[in-house]
Amino acid sequence: MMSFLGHKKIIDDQDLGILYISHNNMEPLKVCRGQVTQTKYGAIRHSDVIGKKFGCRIMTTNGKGWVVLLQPTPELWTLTLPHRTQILYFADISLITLKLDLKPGSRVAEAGTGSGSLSHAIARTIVPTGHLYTYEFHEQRAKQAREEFESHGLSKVVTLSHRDVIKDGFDDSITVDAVFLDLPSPWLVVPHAKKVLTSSGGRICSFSPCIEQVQKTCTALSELGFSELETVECLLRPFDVKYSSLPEPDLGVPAKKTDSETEDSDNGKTEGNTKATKECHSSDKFQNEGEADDDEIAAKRAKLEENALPKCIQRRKNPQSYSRCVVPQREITGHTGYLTFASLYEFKT
Amino acid sequence: MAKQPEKLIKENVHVLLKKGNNVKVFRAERDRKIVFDKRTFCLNAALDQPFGTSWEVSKNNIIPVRTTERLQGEVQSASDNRDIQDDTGSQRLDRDDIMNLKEQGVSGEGIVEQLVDNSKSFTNKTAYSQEKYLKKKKEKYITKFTIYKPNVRLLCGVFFNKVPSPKIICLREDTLAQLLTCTNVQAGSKVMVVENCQGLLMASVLERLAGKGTIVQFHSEDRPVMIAEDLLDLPCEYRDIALRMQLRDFNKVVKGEGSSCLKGVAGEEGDIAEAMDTHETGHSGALVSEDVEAQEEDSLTHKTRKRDFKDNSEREKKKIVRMEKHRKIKELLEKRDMDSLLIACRFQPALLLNHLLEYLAPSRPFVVYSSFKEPLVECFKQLKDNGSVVNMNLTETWLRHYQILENRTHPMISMSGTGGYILTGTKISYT
Repeated sequence: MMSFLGHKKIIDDQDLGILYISHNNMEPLKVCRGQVTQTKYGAIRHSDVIGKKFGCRIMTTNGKGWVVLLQPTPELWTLTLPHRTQILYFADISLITLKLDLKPGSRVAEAGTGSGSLSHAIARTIVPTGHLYTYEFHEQRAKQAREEFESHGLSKVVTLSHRDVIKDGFDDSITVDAVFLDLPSPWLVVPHAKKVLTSSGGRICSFSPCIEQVQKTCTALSELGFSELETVECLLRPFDVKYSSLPEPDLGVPAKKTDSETEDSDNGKTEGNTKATKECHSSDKFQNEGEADDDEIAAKRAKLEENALPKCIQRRKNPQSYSRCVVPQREITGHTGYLTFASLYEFKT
Repeated sequence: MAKQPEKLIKENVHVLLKKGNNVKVFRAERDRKIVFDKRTFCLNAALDQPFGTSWEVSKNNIIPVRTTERLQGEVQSASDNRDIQDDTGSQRLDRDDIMNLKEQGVSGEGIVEQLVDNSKSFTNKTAYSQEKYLKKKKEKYITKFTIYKPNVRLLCGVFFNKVPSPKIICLREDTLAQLLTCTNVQAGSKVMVVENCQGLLMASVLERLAGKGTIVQFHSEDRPVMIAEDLLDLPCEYRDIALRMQLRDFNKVVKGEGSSCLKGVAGEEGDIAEAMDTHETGHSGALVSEDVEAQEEDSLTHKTRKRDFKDNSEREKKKIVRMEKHRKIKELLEKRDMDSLLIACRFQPALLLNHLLEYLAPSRPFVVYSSFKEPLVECFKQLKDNGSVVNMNLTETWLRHYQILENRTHPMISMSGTGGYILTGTKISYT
């Protein structure tokens, strides 16, 4: 059976994979012999995929492009899963995992399950000896999540209960090393959490979008004797690496002079670049005018080709003025939620 | 699960002392004097007590702290600060008075009480301001700390607060967390690691594998730096799965029998190895952070490593062990079936990434950390051009701490400006 845990090499019939179509364009795909899936690069026949390795390029039937079927990981799942609720993303998931001290063998309680984004990551981290008890009060969501855990091979590590923890608390027969809360009134669950959390350094984390929720949760935590309270916010800042044009300004300086001027201009690395750019400009000019055609220019031209700009750039005006630049994305997620962490140490005295 | 015993502070295990932002790791030894928060004391009283207990230093000993009670009961306070004058005359006690009190053996709490009694302005302060004043004074005069069992989370904080040097990478906790998550590290994984994080990344991976799977570590020092592994007291069965080899042996061991066959193909590689050689000589000791207790151990093992004392047969034996290890690594890598690749080192990552990516199985993730964006752009460019990778993302994270207090909730005044940059991606293959 397909599993998110462990590492699988060969694609079998009925396996779940993550179909990579292009950057930021992926979708889950269940492989079924006989079926065909359409992508923007053309169709792929599932029977062509079976027996191949995960992570191999698959040509579409029209030969126009390729896609890749990747083995699902909790991180890929987070990016492609069907949303039934707001979900937790990579940066928060990572920090939660580390700061709840999760490792193989950890026993964890989670409320609520939601779409199961975090649950997959927790399960991956605590296998093979740990266990995740996850609670969801919405019946249909609970059912869907249970089916997912089942088909993703997580049943051995994850137990899902359809239960309202605010009203009914956790299953008191369990003891856990960590509790994670993602529900509207976490402060109401803190007393329940304390009952199942180990008192020798158990960890708790609450995720809340609003500061008022954090305030109430912190009050509840300190009143119940939790220590090491800490509230943080962690935001991912993605960068685009792309070709961008930064042409030379036209100061009306005759092109011929630039060659000698570069000799005593900047220093360091940038000099080389500007010099090359300027010279290329002038070489273009020379050729157009049919004046110069010496070896030097040919060599420089070859050097430029070495830089191998993509074709789409080469077709543009002044391709030499393009270089790879790093730009923060124009619009990013500015807030996900506050993460509040605390520890529970209690001693019989 | 035998949970209870490891929750007690046993002799010779490592303990982490935490007082506010002041955190240090020591080895719990009987009668051994340690220096923490400018005080010298023994940890004897804490031995066989549970982790998580709080202690106060009293003379050269420590006494358990039961509760954290408020010092003052009902005190008069003002509604604003209009009567507060910015002068130095509000405190009647001077330095000598305080020194006297200390010499008389007055406790920290006692001194703070006296300071409050002798402060002309205390009652003119607002209740919030009084609380802040008390907190500050207590921090100064009372050495009260909690003893924790070192773990990856706490240790990351200790290492990150160290002054960074070009030789050591201080990973911020969110960054370390992401390195481990994005590479899908789990029990049973076959992982490749190159790091200069004082062993913190290695230790975290070892902990996440929990004795199942394999790690190949390429270390740039003569000896792998294992400070974090030592401080975490990782069990032997966790550490035994690590296959460690020197980075400069990579060419010889992995790429071919002798280095000669490769010199022609990849000349630059040999250059790199040589460059590393010259960098490496002799400063593996310097990587040890100064006040970490493990330093001593390390220098001890260093002494035993000194070649002059070793007789030939022992050297021969070591050589055989090393050859065997190298053979294992070569065999493992040659399958080109590794599950994760993590790079967080102080070298140019592009070449390293290029070489090691070859051994990663398709559909498996890798991550490269750098304190700078530029080297990662270089990697990005290289991988984009050869088309062996999808889902490449260059990111950084912003980590902000909050003060959560009634009516006084706000982000902390100062925050970490950078946690470095990471480049993540998934390897793919043509066939």
